[in-house]
Amino acid sequence: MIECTSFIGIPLRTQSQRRRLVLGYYALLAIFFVPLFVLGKPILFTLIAQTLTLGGILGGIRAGGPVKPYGGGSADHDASSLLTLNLEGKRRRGMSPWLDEREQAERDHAHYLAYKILRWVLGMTAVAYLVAVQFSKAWLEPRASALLWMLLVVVLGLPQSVILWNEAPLETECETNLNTAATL
Amino acid sequence: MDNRVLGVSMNTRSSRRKLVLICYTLLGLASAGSWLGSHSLTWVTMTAVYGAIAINGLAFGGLGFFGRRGLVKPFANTPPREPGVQEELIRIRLERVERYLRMDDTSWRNDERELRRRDAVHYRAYQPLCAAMAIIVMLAQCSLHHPSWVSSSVASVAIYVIALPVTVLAVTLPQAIILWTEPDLVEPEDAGTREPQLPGIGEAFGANSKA
Repeated sequence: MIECTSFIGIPLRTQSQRRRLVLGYYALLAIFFVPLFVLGKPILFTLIAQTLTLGGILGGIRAGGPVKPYGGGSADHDASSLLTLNLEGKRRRGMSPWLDEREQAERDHAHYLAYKILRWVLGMTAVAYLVAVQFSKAWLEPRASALLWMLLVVVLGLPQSVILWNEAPLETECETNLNTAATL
Repeated sequence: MDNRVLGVSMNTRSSRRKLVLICYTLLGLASAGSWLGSHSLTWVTMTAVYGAIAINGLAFGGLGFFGRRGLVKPFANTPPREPGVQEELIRIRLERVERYLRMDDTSWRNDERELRRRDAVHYRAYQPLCAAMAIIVMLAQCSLHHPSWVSSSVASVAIYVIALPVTVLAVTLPQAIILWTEPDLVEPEDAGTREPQLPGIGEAFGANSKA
């Protein structure tokens, strides 16, 4: 499910490195979010660009991130004769391979976990907002849209974070050979 | 899947689809009724949210509210809570045999196919949730910064009208998708009496006997 062993210079070989990336991602979100929330004046078109960039920075919903894109068909589509013979024309550069059966299961499981987390996050945010509105309605109401935007970015990035957080350490070919030799 | 709701068999896909439609219709009618009765958004919200939780507990299942009575096995895939020691001591005298039988009960457990299905429906249910969130954010932004496009009163009503079904769906959609798409179940007695349907082999034997 993880497409690369490093991402913008950050190594992603071990689980701890990937977890650090996830923590860094949420720190980045906080850096963007806090001034926006305090000022309460996000600009619509900047916000759309930021949503697409920040929501998809870890991959999954778009190509180019450490997580393979979710979209596309099944693994057997990859094995179809049309694609093998490349009769569909010139291949797009950087096009990710289709997810195989294991990766699809992994993707689905990550969404299950993300959905579970999200139910709590959305519920707690709604309750916190309703409580906070009782105390400072005039200050909070114009900032509701910034809060919603933050939630949207979290919703978009959560499954990818789950995948990166849970993925087992990658084994290089060399390590595999060494392990095989050791068992023999 | 425990395949009965209020005594009605849910073995066929069509009956499960009817159940899903009836549940959402009832929830809509109850919310509309509470609006007509009270003209209070708090009441409407409470009716919709508690109604969704009740539907889950009594018909859909999946999340394990009100015990484990719904059609879909709990997604968490954990065994039911054991009774307390006091209760167990009373029961042990009365139902010694039942206790041992219950120890072997694994009907709560989702098998591999069911777990795959659970994960896949959550993947499918996640996407409309994202889309709805995006629409809500856009409406909120437009009303705040471009009131000429969408006035704040219209936007707040629109956001509420979207957010309420989204809240209900966040709790019920994966179960509804499972109930909607799962194929017809074969009753155990039917499975025993039915002959296996292997047309190719059957025809081949028929052809041989004729020859």
